Amino acid sequence: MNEIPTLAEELARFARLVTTEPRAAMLRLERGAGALRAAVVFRGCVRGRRVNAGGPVRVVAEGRISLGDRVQFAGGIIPTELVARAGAELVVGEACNFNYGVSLDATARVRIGARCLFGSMVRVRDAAGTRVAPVEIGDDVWLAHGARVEPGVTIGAGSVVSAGSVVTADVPPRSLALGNPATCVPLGAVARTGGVRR
Amino acid sequence: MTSPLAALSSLATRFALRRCAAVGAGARVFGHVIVRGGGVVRVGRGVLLDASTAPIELHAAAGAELVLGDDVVVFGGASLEAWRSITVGARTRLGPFAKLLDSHFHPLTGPRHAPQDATFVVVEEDCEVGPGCTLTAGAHVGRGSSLVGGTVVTRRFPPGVVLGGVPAAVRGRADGGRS
Repeated sequence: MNEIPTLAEELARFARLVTTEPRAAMLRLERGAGALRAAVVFRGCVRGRRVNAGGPVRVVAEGRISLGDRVQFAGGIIPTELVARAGAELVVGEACNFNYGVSLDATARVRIGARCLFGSMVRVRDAAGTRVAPVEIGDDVWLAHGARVEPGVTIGAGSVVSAGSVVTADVPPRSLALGNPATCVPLGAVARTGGVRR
Repeated sequence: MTSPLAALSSLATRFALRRCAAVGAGARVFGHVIVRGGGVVRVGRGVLLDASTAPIELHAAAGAELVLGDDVVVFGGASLEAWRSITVGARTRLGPFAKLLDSHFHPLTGPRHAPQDATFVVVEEDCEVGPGCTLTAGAHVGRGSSLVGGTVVTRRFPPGVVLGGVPAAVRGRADGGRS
């Protein structure tokens, strides 16, 4: 029934795709390249299935880095970097999406939940000077462009950190963190429900 | 007569900006400038894109327009991402790692990948956008304004002011006096 196709069959199928749908073929190639790149750059990490790196990622895995299934790193003008220093733990949940230029820096422990979205140039660190305090980010959190998460912060599930904000204190679940230093507002009080505004 | 070196530099600029719909006379590019997307990118006369420290990204999605006025200067790491319209006025300077993005991209609640409408980002003439500033959907910076580094602008501001903070607030008058 479900026989595994031979390499020749796969190549023939891909050749057909190139002629009929060149865009889809291109996307497939990019995904393949991303999977290969992920296998190389995350070789020192615990890695789930279908982890994809669409652009360069700098990895320092002196400690433990663990990436869940379907974690994706987008390419862009600045490389992303993941750092786990000796004895540190950096855990990224499944299906998280990273834009370019993100910096995750773990000295003790940084934990990120499932399905989080990281905008470009977001920085998360658990050490500043001599202060070291673990960072915990819940499920479904969206950190917008240029947001900064400081040591010791816990961000509750479903929250949003707005662009350029600096989070220095805990963010309750389902809140909007805004400003430098960030203040929190319940999302229910400010949000339109999802989808296109009409 | 132009020197061979100037001719070569101009040729390199033409090549770097080959995907732009229009490139004004005297535009110059240093370093790696990425022009992408299926939309329209227009670069005015005498524009300087100095990507010698970090790449610059000019992205106009299909149906979108990205316009850099005459004598605009853009520094390395700046990223302009138009999903509908971004306009930068003449003689404005965009500092390193500035980000201009005319869409919120994700809704605050509900399914995070639901499509979002894009709006406009406008920076008028003679503005100074500091390093690491973010201008997001609906940002409109009036003529002659100045943005302190790291400012996040999300709405419209009058001309001739100094803006700073997250989210942006008026800090003073751009002519040096306090407002």
